[in-house]
Amino acid sequence: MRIRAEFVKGDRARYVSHLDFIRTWERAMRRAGLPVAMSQGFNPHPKMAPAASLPVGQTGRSEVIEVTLTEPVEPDDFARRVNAAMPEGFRVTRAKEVPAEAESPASSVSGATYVAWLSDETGAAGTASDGDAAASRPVAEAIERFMSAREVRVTRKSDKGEREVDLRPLVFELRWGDGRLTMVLAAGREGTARPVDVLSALGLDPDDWRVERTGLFKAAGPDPVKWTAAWDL
Amino acid sequence: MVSFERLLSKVTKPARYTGGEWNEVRKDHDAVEVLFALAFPDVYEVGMSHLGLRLLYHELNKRPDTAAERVFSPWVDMEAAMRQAGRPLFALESRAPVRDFDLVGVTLQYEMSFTNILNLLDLAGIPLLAAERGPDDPFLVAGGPCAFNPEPVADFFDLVVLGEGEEAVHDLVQAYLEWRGSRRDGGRRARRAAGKAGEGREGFLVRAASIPGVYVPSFYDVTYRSDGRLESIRPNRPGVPAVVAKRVVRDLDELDYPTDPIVPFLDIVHDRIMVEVFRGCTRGCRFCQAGVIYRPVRERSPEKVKGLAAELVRKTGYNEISLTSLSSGDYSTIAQTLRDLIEKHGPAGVGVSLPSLRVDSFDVALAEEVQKVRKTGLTFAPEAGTQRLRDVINKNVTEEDLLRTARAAFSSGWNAIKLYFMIGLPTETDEDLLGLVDLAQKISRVYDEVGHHRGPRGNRRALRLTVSTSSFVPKAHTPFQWEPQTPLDGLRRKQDLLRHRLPRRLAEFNWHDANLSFIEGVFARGDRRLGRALLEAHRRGCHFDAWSDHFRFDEWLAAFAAVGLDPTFYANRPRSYDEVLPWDHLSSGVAREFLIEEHRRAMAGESTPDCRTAGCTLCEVCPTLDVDLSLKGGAEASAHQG
Ligand code: SF4
Repeated sequence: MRIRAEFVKGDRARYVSHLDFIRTWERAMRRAGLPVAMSQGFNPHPKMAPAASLPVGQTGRSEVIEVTLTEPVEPDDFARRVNAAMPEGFRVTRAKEVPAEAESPASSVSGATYVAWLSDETGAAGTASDGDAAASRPVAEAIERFMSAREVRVTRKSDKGEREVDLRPLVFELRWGDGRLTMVLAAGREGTARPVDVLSALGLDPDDWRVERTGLFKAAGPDPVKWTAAWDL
Repeated sequence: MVSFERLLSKVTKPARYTGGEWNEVRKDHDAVEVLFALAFPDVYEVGMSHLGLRLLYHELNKRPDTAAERVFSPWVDMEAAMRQAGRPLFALESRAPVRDFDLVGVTLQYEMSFTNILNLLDLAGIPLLAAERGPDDPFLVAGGPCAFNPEPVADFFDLVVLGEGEEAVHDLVQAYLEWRGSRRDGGRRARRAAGKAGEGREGFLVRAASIPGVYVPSFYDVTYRSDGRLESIRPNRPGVPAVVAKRVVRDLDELDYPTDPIVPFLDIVHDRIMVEVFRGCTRGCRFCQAGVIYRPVRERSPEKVKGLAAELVRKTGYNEISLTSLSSGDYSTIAQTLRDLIEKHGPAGVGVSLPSLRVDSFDVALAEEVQKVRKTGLTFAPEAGTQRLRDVINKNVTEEDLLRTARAAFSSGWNAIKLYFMIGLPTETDEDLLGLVDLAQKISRVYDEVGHHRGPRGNRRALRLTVSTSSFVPKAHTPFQWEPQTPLDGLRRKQDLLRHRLPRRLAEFNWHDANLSFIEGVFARGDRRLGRALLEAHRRGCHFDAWSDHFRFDEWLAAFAAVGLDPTFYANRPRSYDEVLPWDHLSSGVAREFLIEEHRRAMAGESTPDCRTAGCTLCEVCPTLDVDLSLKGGAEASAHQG
């Protein structure tokens, strides 16, 4: 039985890395007595597929994971049992059964929405969290510059070394208001814009900002209105 | 102040510092009387793998009046960030500063973590020297194996608990409460008013010193002879015992074992269920300190072990159960217990493992059962290359045993074997080292004889042989405590000899850094004066010495020179039986006469059997501490022994 769950990765859990998060799920499922199907092959692993990994330090309001169980379970029961077995900071908000042939969020997600705000106590970049005009203007201007640029080259560091990418086509929308920066970005196999790179490109220090992913989508064209939420795939 | 979040945004593996794991115990500080920090002077992944810390966490948190929280060494990046931000060391659960705790327990797990202890105190803002602590400071309590010779760190600790701590910590908390009174009468700061009866800090130490197993270093005076050796160690006040004997738990089945351990997010060193099957080991290897200080053998009954395992699987969600002890293959009902566990948990995908599959105490059929579920390498620990030397160290394993086991292992499909040896053992000659090469060759020949090695895809598989050598470090409380450690140049020569004589295509050869073993050798049998060298090394930035990237030998040598101490005096000097040893006032319960007799037998090449199978060999721990050797095997155990 294939179950799709939507969950929150909250403040208390935001430093849990993706790999550690998978292990945490796996163990929570066992504590909850939910039998996860195992993949076939030389090195069997539990069939669990998060729609997208979330970088360390970021929270997620509407994350999606799919789990294949060997026994049928009521989706509500599933959510309740997982929640009782999960450490603080993770909470399943809803779950549903999906047909075996349904599109998989893990392979289809290609866009994501984020919101970023100045974290408290930093004191480093002024106090723009209330959106006062003085601090807001530079951000709004940076957004305008970014969006009207033809390309925005950034260097991305990975284990394999450094690499230049053009961030611009991976950014669909940036909005600034009430001290909150909303971002609509590419996130998937075709390309990913990382919120930290966007913040840097806007001339902001990512260490001063808290980032939360608010949604995962299958993107279709540059207009987010036409996108499908991972939950609905 | 820089926020916690901002600190974490700068460091690797921030989950080391956040707490919040499954089964973490977080208590309201205003609702408890005593705050007890449990510190392990290494990184989270190492400290969380330590069973002792988890046992004490459970014992203390079981008390409604006490909150126990964890403290680990921040890794170098976090330390730098904390220092820059002026953020003091904090406990994981509450993130409260460690210096606000009433008692801070520190595990002395290995000598090379001593500088990390000083660094922890420094980061916490607690005066390093016990003598300099005032009414605002916590009491520092040491425990763990190195507590059996805590003299090099004696000046930094207010008290030391010898032996098993599960019962002793309750006595300690009780004594603390009696001394301080309730925090409701004046708040937790009451301790700053120096105890309810105005006894001062010392008042608590006096009370603690009357608890069995508790050693208060400042209540003992050490005098030295003109040649640098010890003259005496004596209590400096009435009512303090001349010799402190360790604590020991009589019956493991009566002991409450935590079935709701913390399940870390991070992949820690031992990331699995740990069920302790017994304590102690009486195989009697003469180099082994654990084999003395944890005596006698006390088993947990197989029913209890299986019950705990089942409960732990349910409550942790781990998919691996590890049966832990000093040598789990020696558990009297190991075969049956393993089979029962595999039968019960195997179908749910939960494997069973032993921390190290020492085949010298284990039969291959059994190893197979474990292998079915989890691929673990086979480990042999012959420790020495010739029978002569194995008799000296009392490693009662013969070459035939090893080759027979290897043959059985190869026949059932294994192709990887690790061999552990020590170099620099007492009486060792080059012949013994070459014996090691010879043994590796014989094992390789057995592999060729067995033939037909096919991998899962039918490919032919070569033998993967690893030879690992560590350098022998004489330890306190062992029959070799009087022996000199092989000097550094000697150790290097022995390593070189092996490097040249062990063919590279035969085996992969690993060796330990001899410099590190030398410093370890200094502290393992060190005295109180070494505290100055530790302070100096700490000032020079030595920390994480057990991590090869961070070990700075030159700084260590400079530290010894700066305080005018000769490290070879401690490491490389033979002692006579009548010399006063720095740990003579601390007793493991094993008689000194037994250690002398064992040393004599070693020199004569005579082995001594295991008292589990051969009857009491008169080490005296049982009568001295009023405890018994306790095997819980019933019928199977006696068959095993017969
Ligand atoms: S006193 Fe005897 S039975 Fe007890 S541990 Fe020592 S040798 Fe073994």
